[in-house]
Amino acid sequence: MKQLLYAELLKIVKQSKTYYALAAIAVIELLIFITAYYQGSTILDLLLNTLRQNFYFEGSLLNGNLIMYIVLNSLWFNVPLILMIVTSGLLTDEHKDGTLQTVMLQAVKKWKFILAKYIMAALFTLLVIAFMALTTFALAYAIFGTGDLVVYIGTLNFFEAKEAFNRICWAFASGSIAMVFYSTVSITLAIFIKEASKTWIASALFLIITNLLLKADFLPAALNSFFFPKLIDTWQQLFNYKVDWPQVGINNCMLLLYSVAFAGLGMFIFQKKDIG
Amino acid sequence: MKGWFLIGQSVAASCDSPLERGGGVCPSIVQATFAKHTPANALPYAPPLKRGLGTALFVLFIALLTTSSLYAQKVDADLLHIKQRMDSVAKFTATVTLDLDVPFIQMPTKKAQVSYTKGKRMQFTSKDFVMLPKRGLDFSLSEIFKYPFITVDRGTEKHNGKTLKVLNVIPTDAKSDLVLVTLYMDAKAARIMESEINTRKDGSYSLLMQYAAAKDILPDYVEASFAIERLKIPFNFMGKDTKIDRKKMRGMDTKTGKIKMKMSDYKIALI
Repeated sequence: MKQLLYAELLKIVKQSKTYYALAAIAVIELLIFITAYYQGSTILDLLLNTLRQNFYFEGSLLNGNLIMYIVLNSLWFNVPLILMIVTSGLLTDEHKDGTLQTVMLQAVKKWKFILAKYIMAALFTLLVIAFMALTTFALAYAIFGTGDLVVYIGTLNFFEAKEAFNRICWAFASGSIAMVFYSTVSITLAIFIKEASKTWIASALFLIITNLLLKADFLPAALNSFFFPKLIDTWQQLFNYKVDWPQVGINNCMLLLYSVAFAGLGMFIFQKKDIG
Repeated sequence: MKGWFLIGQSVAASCDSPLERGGGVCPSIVQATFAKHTPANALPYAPPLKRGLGTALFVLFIALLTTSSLYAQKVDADLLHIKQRMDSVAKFTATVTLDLDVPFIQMPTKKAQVSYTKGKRMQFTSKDFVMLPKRGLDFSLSEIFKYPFITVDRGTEKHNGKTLKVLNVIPTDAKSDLVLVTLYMDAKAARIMESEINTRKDGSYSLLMQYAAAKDILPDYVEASFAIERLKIPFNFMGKDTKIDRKKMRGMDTKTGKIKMKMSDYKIALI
C-alpha cells in the first residue's frame, strides 16, 4: 500500500496539471486582492450604505480578514472545480495512457490501487487548501493589515480581529472537508466515465447541482439537514454570530461519511468492472 | 400661549412616539393650524363682508397677543441652572464602553476614548472598528443651548419612581437643527434624566441618562434610541444559504435601535 501511495504521490508531483492548479488558485487570489485594493472601499460603502444614515464609522473594515473571507468564498465553485479536474485526472489519465492495464498486470489488488488514489486525492486537496490559506494569510495581512471583520449572514455580523482570525482558520479547516468530498466524488465519477473531458463536465454538473440544491428544500426537514448539498455550506456557519459548534461537528462528520460512502461505491464499481 | 400649549398637547396625543414619526411634521399640527382659518369658524349671523373683517381683526388681536407673550417668555429657571452647571465643564475625557442594540446588527462590546472641549464636537477614538450614532452623543447638551430658545413647562411626570419636571425646548433660530426637545429634568439634582429630540435632518432620537453620584454633572450611562431603516444588502454580499423572508423584511422597514454607552475614567476640567 505504501508503494502504491508513493507511486501516486510521484505522479502528482511530476504531472504539470498539479502546478497549473496551484497557479490557477494563485491567480484567483491575486484577482481578489487587486479587486479588493481598488474597489474594496466602494464595496463596503455599498454594504454599509443604510447604516451611514445613522452612524459614523471609526476604523477600517477593509483589512486582511475581509480579504480572507472573500478568498474563502472561492470555495463555493472555483476551487472545487479545479480540484475535481486535477483529482479525476489521477484515474482518467491512466485510462487515456493505457497505464491502468499495465498496473493491473502486476500483483496489485484492484481495491488497494483505487484506495491509494482516493487517499492521494484527499491529501492533495488538503495540500491545496493549506497552500491557499497560507498564501492568503501572508499576503492579506502584509498588504491590508488586520482589523475587524464584517459578514452578512441574515444579520450584519461584526467580529473583532482575533475572533475573526480564529473563525477563518476554522472555516478553512471545515471547508477542506467539503473539498475532500468533491475530490472523492470526482474520482468516483472518473471510475464510471473513464474519459477525462466527460468526467470534467460531469464534475462541473455535480458542482452546479450541489450549489443549486443548497437553496432548495424539497425533503422533510429532518432529512433535509442530512442531505449532502446542505452540508457543503458548513464552513459558512462559522460566521454566524453564535456558532452552533455541535451542528458544525455533526455536519462535518456527515460530510466525511458521505466521502467514505462515495469512495466505497467507487471501489465497489472498480472492483466489479473490467479494465479496458 | 395657553392656546399654543393645548395644540402641542393634542399633537402629542394624536401622533405616535417621536421615533415612529421619524422627526417629520405631525399631520395633526398642520390640520389644527389650518382649521382656525376656514370660513366655517366665522359667526353664522354676520354678513359676509363684516364676517371677513371681524375674522381679520380677531387674527390681528391674537397675533399681537401671541407676539407679546413670546417676547415675555422666560427660559425655565431650572433649565438655566442646569445650563450653568453644564457650562462649567471646560473639557473632559472618558473611556466609553459601547453596546449596540440593533435588531439586524450583531456587534461585540466595543471600547473607545471620548474627548470633549467646550464649543467643539465630541471626538471619539478607538483601536477597533466602532459605530457611533450620528445623533445622541451630545450628552453635554451643547447642541440644545447653542442657539436661542424658548421653553414651555409641561408639568411633572413620574419615571422609575422619580418625579421629573417635563419641559419643551423650542429653538427660535432657524439655524438650529433641532425642532423640538422634550426634557425630563431632576430639578433637585439639577440635571437632565431623559430627553426626546426632534431634528430637521436626522429624524428623532431619545436619550436616557444615569448618574453615578448625586453631585455628578455628567452621566456615567447614556442610552440613545433612534429609528433605523432596515438593511438593504445587495444580493452579492449575502451568504450563500441566506434565506430571504419577504414578509419579515417588509415588517422591518423601520426599527428602533439603541446604543448603550457606559462612561468610566472621567477626567473633567471645570471652569
